[in-house]
Amino acid sequence: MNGDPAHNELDERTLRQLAQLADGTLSGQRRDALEARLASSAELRAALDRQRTAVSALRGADLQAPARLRQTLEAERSRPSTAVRRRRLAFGGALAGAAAAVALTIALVAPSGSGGPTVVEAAQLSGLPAMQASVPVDPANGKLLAASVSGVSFPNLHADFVWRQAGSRSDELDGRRTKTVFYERAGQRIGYTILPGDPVDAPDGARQTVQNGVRLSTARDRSGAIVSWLRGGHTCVLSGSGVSAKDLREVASWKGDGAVPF
Amino acid sequence: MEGRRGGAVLTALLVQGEDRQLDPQRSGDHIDALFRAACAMSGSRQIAEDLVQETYVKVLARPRLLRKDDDLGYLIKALRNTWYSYLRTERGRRAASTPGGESPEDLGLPATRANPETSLEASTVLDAVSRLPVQFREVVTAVDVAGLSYAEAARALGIRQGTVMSRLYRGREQVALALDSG
Repeated sequence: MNGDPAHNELDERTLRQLAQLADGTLSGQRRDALEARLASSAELRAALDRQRTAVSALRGADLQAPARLRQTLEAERSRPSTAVRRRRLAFGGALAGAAAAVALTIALVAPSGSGGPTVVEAAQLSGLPAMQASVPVDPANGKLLAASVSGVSFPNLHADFVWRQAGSRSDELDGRRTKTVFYERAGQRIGYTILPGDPVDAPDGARQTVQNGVRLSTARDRSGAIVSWLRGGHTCVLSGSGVSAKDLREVASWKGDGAVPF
Repeated sequence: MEGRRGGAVLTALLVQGEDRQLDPQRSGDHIDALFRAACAMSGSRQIAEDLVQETYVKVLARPRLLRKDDDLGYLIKALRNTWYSYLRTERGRRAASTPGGESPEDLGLPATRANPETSLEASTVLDAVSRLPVQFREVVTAVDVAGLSYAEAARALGIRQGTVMSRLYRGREQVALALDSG
Protein backbone atom coordinates (compact mmCIF):
# COMPACT_ATOMS: atom_id res chain seq x y z
CA MET A 1 0.00 0.00 0.00
CA ASN A 2 1.49 3.27 -1.05
CA GLY A 3 0.63 6.11 1.33
CA ASP A 4 1.74 8.87 -1.02
CA PRO A 5 -1.47 10.74 -1.97
CA ALA A 6 0.08 12.14 -5.17
CA HIS A 7 0.96 8.63 -6.26
CA ASN A 8 -2.52 7.36 -5.59
CA GLU A 9 -4.14 10.24 -7.41
CA LEU A 10 -2.53 9.21 -10.68
CA ASP A 11 -2.96 5.49 -10.49
CA GLU A 12 -3.32 3.46 -13.66
CA ARG A 13 -7.08 3.59 -13.71
CA THR A 14 -7.08 7.35 -13.29
CA LEU A 15 -4.57 7.79 -16.11
CA ARG A 16 -6.84 5.87 -18.44
CA GLN A 17 -9.88 7.86 -17.43
CA LEU A 18 -8.01 11.14 -17.87
CA ALA A 19 -7.07 10.05 -21.38
CA GLN A 20 -10.73 9.30 -22.06
CA LEU A 21 -12.00 12.51 -20.50
CA ALA A 22 -9.57 14.55 -22.60
CA ASP A 23 -10.87 13.16 -25.86
CA GLY A 24 -14.52 12.96 -24.86
CA THR A 25 -14.91 9.19 -24.59
CA LEU A 26 -15.55 9.06 -20.85
CA SER A 27 -19.21 9.26 -19.91
CA GLY A 28 -21.75 8.46 -17.23
CA GLN A 29 -20.90 7.83 -13.61
CA ARG A 30 -17.19 7.45 -14.27
CA ARG A 31 -17.06 10.89 -15.78
CA ASP A 32 -19.00 12.38 -12.88
CA ALA A 33 -16.72 10.71 -10.35
CA LEU A 34 -13.56 11.87 -12.06
CA GLU A 35 -14.84 15.43 -12.40
CA ALA A 36 -15.58 15.44 -8.68
CA ARG A 37 -11.99 14.43 -7.98
CA LEU A 38 -10.69 17.04 -10.41
CA ALA A 39 -12.47 19.78 -8.50
CA SER A 40 -10.34 19.10 -5.46
CA SER A 41 -7.00 18.18 -7.05
CA ALA A 42 -4.68 20.64 -8.76
CA GLU A 43 -2.46 17.78 -9.85
CA LEU A 44 -5.26 16.02 -11.67
CA ARG A 45 -6.37 19.24 -13.32
CA ALA A 46 -2.82 19.88 -14.51
CA ALA A 47 -2.62 16.37 -15.89
CA LEU A 48 -5.93 16.82 -17.70
CA ASP A 49 -4.76 20.13 -19.14
CA ARG A 50 -1.69 18.45 -20.58
CA GLN A 51 -3.85 15.71 -22.08
CA ARG A 52 -6.15 18.28 -23.66
CA THR A 53 -3.22 20.29 -25.00
CA ALA A 54 -1.87 17.19 -26.69
CA VAL A 55 -5.26 16.07 -28.02
CA SER A 56 -5.94 19.50 -29.46
CA ALA A 57 -2.53 19.71 -31.13
CA LEU A 58 -2.54 16.14 -32.42
CA ARG A 59 -6.07 16.11 -33.77
CA GLY A 60 -5.63 19.54 -35.28
CA ALA A 61 -2.46 18.55 -37.12
CA ASP A 62 -3.80 19.05 -40.61
CA LEU A 63 -1.19 17.77 -43.02
CA GLN A 64 -2.30 16.52 -46.42
CA ALA A 65 -0.61 13.93 -48.55
CA PRO A 66 1.38 15.46 -51.43
CA ALA A 67 -0.33 15.57 -54.81
CA ARG A 68 2.30 13.33 -56.37
CA LEU A 69 1.57 10.62 -53.82
CA ARG A 70 -2.16 10.84 -54.58
CA GLN A 71 -1.47 10.54 -58.29
CA THR A 72 0.78 7.55 -57.77
CA LEU A 73 -1.76 5.79 -55.57
CA GLU A 74 -4.58 6.60 -57.98
CA ALA A 75 -2.63 4.91 -60.75
CA GLU A 76 -1.91 2.02 -58.41
CA ARG A 77 -5.57 1.53 -57.55
CA SER A 78 -6.68 1.58 -61.16
CA ARG A 79 -4.11 -1.03 -62.13
CA PRO A 80 -5.30 -4.52 -61.21
CA SER A 81 -2.57 -6.54 -59.57
CA THR A 82 -1.48 -9.90 -60.88
CA ALA A 83 -3.15 -11.54 -57.89
CA VAL A 84 -6.41 -9.75 -58.53
CA ARG A 85 -6.40 -10.60 -62.20
CA ARG A 86 -5.85 -14.24 -61.37
CA ARG A 87 -8.62 -14.25 -58.80
CA ARG A 88 -10.99 -12.91 -61.42
CA LEU A 89 -9.93 -15.70 -63.69
CA ALA A 90 -10.51 -18.18 -60.91
CA PHE A 91 -14.05 -16.96 -60.19
CA GLY A 92 -14.89 -17.00 -63.89
CA GLY A 93 -13.51 -20.48 -64.25
CA ALA A 94 -15.50 -21.79 -61.29
CA LEU A 95 -18.73 -20.56 -62.75
CA ALA A 96 -18.15 -21.53 -66.32
CA GLY A 97 -17.73 -25.25 -65.82
CA ALA A 98 -15.26 -27.95 -66.69
CA ALA A 99 -14.24 -26.71 -70.10
CA ALA A 100 -13.39 -23.30 -68.74
CA ALA A 101 -11.54 -24.91 -65.85
CA VAL A 102 -9.13 -26.53 -68.30
CA ALA A 103 -8.40 -23.19 -69.87
CA LEU A 104 -8.07 -21.67 -66.41
CA THR A 105 -5.45 -24.20 -65.43
CA ILE A 106 -3.43 -23.25 -68.46
CA ALA A 107 -3.81 -19.58 -67.64
CA LEU A 108 -2.65 -20.07 -64.08
CA VAL A 109 0.50 -21.95 -64.95
CA ALA A 110 1.46 -19.73 -67.85
CA PRO A 111 4.20 -17.17 -67.22
CA SER A 112 3.13 -13.67 -66.26
CA GLY A 113 2.21 -11.32 -69.06
CA SER A 114 0.36 -13.80 -71.24
CA GLY A 115 3.15 -14.78 -73.56
CA GLY A 116 5.08 -11.51 -73.81
CA PRO A 117 8.66 -11.06 -72.73
CA THR A 118 9.37 -11.71 -69.08
CA VAL A 119 11.50 -9.87 -66.58
CA VAL A 120 13.66 -12.96 -66.11
CA GLU A 121 14.33 -13.14 -69.85
CA ALA A 122 15.31 -9.49 -69.87
CA ALA A 123 17.59 -10.05 -66.87
CA GLN A 124 19.40 -12.83 -68.71
CA LEU A 125 20.60 -10.26 -71.22
CA SER A 126 22.86 -8.84 -68.52
CA GLY A 127 25.00 -11.96 -68.77
CA LEU A 128 25.66 -11.49 -72.50
CA PRO A 129 28.59 -9.54 -73.98
CA ALA A 130 28.33 -5.92 -75.10
CA MET A 131 27.90 -5.32 -78.83
CA GLN A 132 28.74 -1.62 -78.77
CA ALA A 133 31.90 -0.83 -76.85
CA SER A 134 31.00 2.51 -75.35
CA VAL A 135 28.05 4.73 -74.56
CA PRO A 136 28.85 8.45 -74.32
CA VAL A 137 27.46 10.77 -71.67
CA ASP A 138 24.53 12.92 -72.79
CA PRO A 139 26.12 16.32 -73.53
CA ALA A 140 22.91 18.09 -72.43
CA ASN A 141 22.51 16.20 -69.13
CA GLY A 142 25.49 14.78 -67.31
CA LYS A 143 23.29 12.44 -65.24
CA LEU A 144 22.21 10.59 -68.39
CA LEU A 145 23.90 8.60 -71.11
CA ALA A 146 23.33 9.30 -74.80
CA ALA A 147 21.35 6.09 -75.23
CA SER A 148 17.63 5.59 -74.86
CA VAL A 149 14.67 3.37 -75.64
CA SER A 150 11.32 4.96 -76.53
CA GLY A 151 12.49 8.22 -75.04
CA VAL A 152 13.71 6.67 -71.78
CA SER A 153 17.40 7.42 -71.33
CA PHE A 154 19.88 5.27 -69.45
CA PRO A 155 21.39 6.90 -66.37
CA ASN A 156 25.03 7.88 -65.96
CA LEU A 157 25.89 6.13 -62.69
CA HIS A 158 29.56 7.02 -62.51
CA ALA A 159 29.56 10.12 -60.31
CA ASP A 160 27.11 8.84 -57.69
CA PHE A 161 27.72 5.08 -57.65
CA VAL A 162 31.13 4.64 -59.37
CA TRP A 163 29.45 2.27 -61.82
CA ARG A 164 31.15 3.10 -65.14
CA GLN A 165 29.32 2.35 -68.40
CA ALA A 166 30.82 -0.63 -70.19
CA GLY A 167 29.04 -0.77 -73.52
CA SER A 168 25.64 -1.87 -74.68
CA ARG A 169 23.75 -4.37 -76.77
CA SER A 170 20.41 -4.47 -78.58
CA ASP A 171 18.13 -7.50 -78.68
CA GLU A 172 14.60 -8.46 -79.57
CA LEU A 173 12.42 -10.16 -76.97
CA ASP A 174 9.04 -11.35 -78.23
CA GLY A 175 8.95 -8.65 -80.86
CA ARG A 176 10.17 -5.86 -78.60
CA ARG A 177 13.41 -4.10 -79.42
CA THR A 178 15.31 -3.88 -76.16
CA LYS A 179 18.54 -2.19 -75.26
CA THR A 180 20.87 -3.14 -72.43
CA VAL A 181 23.61 -0.90 -71.08
CA PHE A 182 26.31 -2.54 -69.00
CA TYR A 183 28.05 -0.94 -66.05
CA GLU A 184 31.17 -2.14 -64.25
CA ARG A 185 32.60 -1.44 -60.81
CA ALA A 186 35.42 -3.19 -58.95
CA GLY A 187 35.14 -6.33 -61.02
CA GLN A 188 31.34 -6.49 -60.85
CA ARG A 189 29.01 -6.01 -63.79
CA ILE A 190 25.34 -5.11 -64.02
CA GLY A 191 23.00 -4.91 -66.98
CA TYR A 192 20.27 -2.27 -67.25
CA THR A 193 17.66 -3.30 -69.80
CA ILE A 194 14.74 -1.21 -71.00
CA LEU A 195 11.78 -3.12 -72.42
CA PRO A 196 9.56 -0.78 -74.45
CA GLY A 197 5.81 -1.23 -74.63
CA ASP A 198 3.20 -2.34 -72.13
CA PRO A 199 4.49 -2.92 -68.60
CA VAL A 200 5.76 -6.42 -67.98
CA ASP A 201 4.58 -8.14 -64.80
CA ALA A 202 7.15 -8.87 -62.13
CA PRO A 203 7.97 -12.55 -61.60
CA ASP A 204 5.70 -14.47 -59.26
CA GLY A 205 6.69 -14.00 -55.65
CA ALA A 206 8.68 -10.85 -56.33
CA ARG A 207 9.03 -8.61 -53.31
CA GLN A 208 7.35 -5.24 -53.71
CA THR A 209 9.01 -2.21 -52.17
CA VAL A 210 9.02 1.53 -52.66
CA GLN A 211 12.23 3.49 -52.54
CA ASN A 212 12.65 7.17 -53.27
CA GLY A 213 9.06 7.13 -54.50
CA VAL A 214 9.70 4.37 -57.03
CA ARG A 215 7.82 1.08 -56.87
CA LEU A 216 10.36 -1.73 -57.21
CA SER A 217 9.92 -5.48 -57.63
CA THR A 218 12.77 -7.68 -56.50
CA ALA A 219 13.01 -11.30 -57.57
CA ARG A 220 15.78 -13.88 -57.71
CA ASP A 221 16.97 -16.37 -60.22
CA ARG A 222 20.00 -18.64 -60.19
CA SER A 223 22.42 -15.81 -60.93
CA GLY A 224 21.14 -13.43 -58.28
CA ALA A 225 18.77 -10.56 -57.68
CA ILE A 226 16.62 -8.98 -60.38
CA VAL A 227 14.97 -5.61 -59.86
CA SER A 228 12.27 -4.32 -62.19
CA TRP A 229 10.33 -1.06 -62.23
CA LEU A 230 8.73 1.42 -64.62
CA ARG A 231 10.11 4.56 -66.19
CA GLY A 232 7.93 6.49 -68.59
CA GLY A 233 5.55 3.53 -68.63
CA HIS A 234 8.26 1.18 -69.92
CA THR A 235 9.75 -1.69 -67.98
CA CYS A 236 13.31 -1.43 -66.73
CA VAL A 237 15.20 -4.49 -65.51
CA LEU A 238 18.44 -4.42 -63.56
CA SER A 239 20.50 -7.42 -62.59
CA GLY A 240 24.07 -8.56 -62.17
CA SER A 241 25.73 -11.66 -60.88
CA GLY A 242 26.83 -11.29 -57.27
CA VAL A 243 25.43 -7.77 -56.88
CA SER A 244 23.15 -7.34 -53.89
CA ALA A 245 19.47 -6.54 -54.24
CA LYS A 246 20.04 -3.50 -52.04
CA ASP A 247 22.66 -2.09 -54.41
CA LEU A 248 20.42 -2.75 -57.39
CA ARG A 249 17.47 -1.01 -55.76
CA GLU A 250 19.61 2.03 -54.94
CA VAL A 251 20.54 2.33 -58.60
CA ALA A 252 17.03 1.59 -59.85
CA SER A 253 15.42 4.28 -57.71
CA TRP A 254 18.11 6.90 -58.34
CA LYS A 255 16.66 10.11 -59.72
CA GLY A 256 19.85 12.17 -59.93
CA ASP A 257 18.27 15.07 -58.05
CA GLY A 258 15.52 15.17 -60.64
CA ALA A 259 17.78 14.89 -63.67
CA VAL A 260 16.77 11.28 -64.36
CA PRO A 261 13.15 11.28 -65.55
CA PHE A 262 10.74 8.58 -64.36
CA MET B 1 -29.87 -23.95 -45.63
CA GLU B 2 -26.18 -23.83 -44.90
CA GLY B 3 -25.51 -24.42 -48.55
CA ARG B 4 -27.78 -21.59 -49.57
CA ARG B 5 -26.07 -19.28 -47.13
CA GLY B 6 -22.71 -20.30 -48.51
CA GLY B 7 -23.97 -19.67 -52.00
CA ALA B 8 -25.16 -16.22 -51.00
CA VAL B 9 -21.78 -15.42 -49.53
CA LEU B 10 -20.07 -16.61 -52.68
CA THR B 11 -22.41 -14.48 -54.77
CA ALA B 12 -21.65 -11.48 -52.59
CA LEU B 13 -17.96 -12.04 -53.02
CA LEU B 14 -18.34 -12.32 -56.74
CA VAL B 15 -20.52 -9.23 -56.94
CA GLN B 16 -18.01 -7.24 -54.99
CA GLY B 17 -15.13 -8.53 -57.05
CA GLU B 18 -12.07 -9.54 -55.04
CA ASP B 19 -13.18 -11.39 -51.91
CA ARG B 20 -13.88 -8.31 -49.85
CA GLN B 21 -10.50 -6.74 -50.21
CA LEU B 22 -9.96 -3.17 -49.14
CA ASP B 23 -12.36 -1.16 -51.29
CA PRO B 24 -10.11 0.75 -53.71
CA GLN B 25 -12.61 3.59 -53.94
CA ARG B 26 -12.88 3.95 -50.17
CA SER B 27 -9.17 3.46 -49.57
CA GLY B 28 -8.51 6.82 -51.21
CA ASP B 29 -10.37 8.48 -48.36
CA HIS B 30 -7.62 7.45 -45.98
CA ILE B 31 -4.55 8.75 -47.80
CA ASP B 32 -4.23 11.89 -45.68
CA ALA B 33 -4.70 10.02 -42.40
CA LEU B 34 -2.22 7.38 -43.45
CA PHE B 35 0.29 9.99 -44.58
CA ARG B 36 0.06 11.83 -41.26
CA ALA B 37 0.45 8.53 -39.43
CA ALA B 38 3.51 7.69 -41.51
CA CYS B 39 4.99 11.13 -40.80
CA ALA B 40 4.41 10.59 -37.09
CA MET B 41 6.02 7.16 -37.20
CA SER B 42 9.04 8.10 -39.26
CA GLY B 43 9.55 11.81 -38.66
CA SER B 44 10.26 12.25 -42.36
CA ARG B 45 7.96 13.30 -45.19
CA GLN B 46 10.06 11.50 -47.78
CA ILE B 47 10.07 8.26 -45.84
CA ALA B 48 6.35 8.72 -45.11
CA GLU B 49 5.59 8.95 -48.82
CA ASP B 50 7.50 5.74 -49.46
CA LEU B 51 5.81 3.99 -46.55
CA VAL B 52 2.32 4.96 -47.67
CA GLN B 53 2.96 3.98 -51.25
CA GLU B 54 4.46 0.67 -50.24
CA THR B 55 1.58 0.00 -47.87
CA TYR B 56 -0.98 0.54 -50.61
CA VAL B 57 0.99 -1.58 -53.05
CA LYS B 58 1.03 -4.46 -50.58
CA VAL B 59 -2.58 -4.12 -49.49
CA LEU B 60 -3.94 -3.89 -53.00
CA ALA B 61 -1.77 -6.76 -54.18
CA ARG B 62 -2.82 -9.11 -51.39
CA PRO B 63 -6.50 -8.68 -50.64
CA ARG B 64 -7.66 -9.74 -47.19
CA LEU B 65 -11.04 -10.33 -45.67
CA LEU B 66 -11.87 -7.38 -43.49
CA ARG B 67 -14.81 -5.62 -41.97
CA LYS B 68 -16.02 -2.81 -44.12
CA ASP B 69 -15.86 -0.23 -41.35
CA ASP B 70 -12.31 -1.09 -40.40
CA ASP B 71 -10.43 -0.12 -43.54
CA LEU B 72 -8.31 2.48 -41.77
CA GLY B 73 -7.43 0.12 -38.94
CA TYR B 74 -6.29 -2.43 -41.47
CA LEU B 75 -4.24 0.16 -43.32
CA ILE B 76 -2.60 1.34 -40.10
CA LYS B 77 -1.69 -2.22 -39.25
CA ALA B 78 -0.20 -2.67 -42.72
CA LEU B 79 1.63 0.65 -42.41
CA ARG B 80 3.11 -0.45 -39.11
CA ASN B 81 4.36 -3.66 -40.69
CA THR B 82 5.83 -1.71 -43.58
CA TRP B 83 7.58 0.60 -41.12
CA TYR B 84 9.14 -2.31 -39.27
CA SER B 85 10.26 -3.85 -42.55
CA TYR B 86 11.80 -0.53 -43.47
CA LEU B 87 13.64 -0.32 -40.15
CA ARG B 88 15.13 -3.74 -40.78
CA THR B 89 16.86 -2.43 -43.89
CA GLU B 90 20.16 -0.64 -43.71
CA ARG B 91 18.50 2.50 -45.01
CA GLY B 92 16.02 2.30 -42.15
CA ARG B 93 18.69 1.72 -39.54
CA ARG B 94 20.51 4.78 -40.80
CA ALA B 95 17.33 6.83 -40.55
CA ALA B 96 16.53 5.49 -37.12
CA SER B 97 19.96 6.47 -35.83
CA THR B 98 18.71 10.05 -35.88
CA PRO B 99 15.84 10.28 -33.41
CA GLY B 100 12.64 10.86 -35.30
CA GLY B 101 13.94 10.04 -38.75
CA GLU B 102 16.53 11.02 -41.29
CA SER B 103 16.55 14.63 -40.33
CA PRO B 104 14.86 16.50 -37.53
CA GLU B 105 14.00 19.26 -39.99
CA ASP B 106 12.55 16.89 -42.54
CA LEU B 107 8.94 17.36 -41.51
CA GLY B 108 9.35 21.10 -41.74
CA LEU B 109 9.65 21.03 -45.51
CA PRO B 110 6.90 22.80 -47.42
CA ALA B 111 3.62 20.95 -47.01
CA THR B 112 0.57 20.95 -49.18
CA ARG B 113 -1.61 23.12 -46.98
CA ALA B 114 -2.32 26.58 -48.27
CA ASN B 115 -1.59 28.07 -44.86
CA PRO B 116 2.13 27.72 -44.07
CA GLU B 117 1.53 28.30 -40.36
CA THR B 118 -0.82 25.35 -40.21
CA SER B 119 1.73 23.20 -41.99
CA LEU B 120 4.52 24.25 -39.71
CA GLU B 121 2.41 23.53 -36.66
CA ALA B 122 1.41 20.12 -37.96
CA SER B 123 5.02 19.33 -38.72
CA THR B 124 6.07 20.34 -35.23
CA VAL B 125 3.40 18.17 -33.64
CA LEU B 126 4.12 15.14 -35.79
CA ASP B 127 7.84 15.56 -35.21
CA ALA B 128 7.16 15.45 -31.46
CA VAL B 129 5.25 12.19 -31.93
CA SER B 130 8.07 10.69 -33.97
CA ARG B 131 10.39 11.20 -30.98
CA LEU B 132 8.24 9.24 -28.56
CA PRO B 133 9.29 5.75 -27.46
CA VAL B 134 7.85 3.34 -29.96
CA GLN B 135 5.11 1.87 -27.75
CA PHE B 136 3.70 5.34 -27.06
CA ARG B 137 4.29 6.55 -30.60
CA GLU B 138 2.23 3.74 -32.10
CA VAL B 139 -0.77 4.35 -29.90
CA VAL B 140 -0.74 8.13 -30.22
CA THR B 141 -0.39 7.74 -33.98
CA ALA B 142 -3.25 5.27 -34.22
CA VAL B 143 -5.71 7.15 -32.00
CA ASP B 144 -4.90 10.84 -32.19
CA VAL B 145 -3.19 11.14 -35.57
CA ALA B 146 -5.04 8.55 -37.65
CA GLY B 147 -8.31 8.79 -35.73
CA LEU B 148 -8.93 5.17 -34.76
CA SER B 149 -11.17 4.36 -31.82
CA TYR B 150 -9.58 2.63 -28.83
CA ALA B 151 -11.05 -0.68 -29.97
CA GLU B 152 -9.77 -0.26 -33.53
CA ALA B 153 -6.33 0.76 -32.28
CA ALA B 154 -6.22 -2.25 -29.97
CA ARG B 155 -7.01 -4.56 -32.90
CA ALA B 156 -4.53 -2.87 -35.23
CA LEU B 157 -1.70 -2.96 -32.69
CA GLY B 158 -2.53 -6.30 -31.13
CA ILE B 159 -2.81 -4.98 -27.56
CA ARG B 160 -5.62 -4.59 -25.01
CA GLN B 161 -7.81 -1.51 -24.91
CA GLY B 162 -6.64 -0.76 -21.39
CA THR B 163 -3.06 -0.76 -22.63
CA VAL B 164 -4.06 1.58 -25.43
CA MET B 165 -5.45 4.05 -22.90
CA SER B 166 -2.44 3.85 -20.57
CA ARG B 167 0.05 4.33 -23.36
CA LEU B 168 -2.07 7.06 -24.87
CA TYR B 169 -2.00 8.99 -21.61
CA ARG B 170 1.77 8.72 -21.30
CA GLY B 171 2.38 9.50 -24.96
CA ARG B 172 0.20 12.59 -24.82
CA GLU B 173 1.99 13.72 -21.66
CA GLN B 174 5.30 13.64 -23.47
CA VAL B 175 3.89 15.38 -26.54
CA ALA B 176 2.44 18.15 -24.39
CA LEU B 177 5.74 18.61 -22.58
CA ALA B 178 7.66 18.64 -25.87
CA LEU B 179 5.36 21.25 -27.37
CA ASP B 180 5.54 23.29 -24.21
CA SER B 181 9.35 23.27 -24.17
CA GLY B 182 9.57 23.84 -27.94
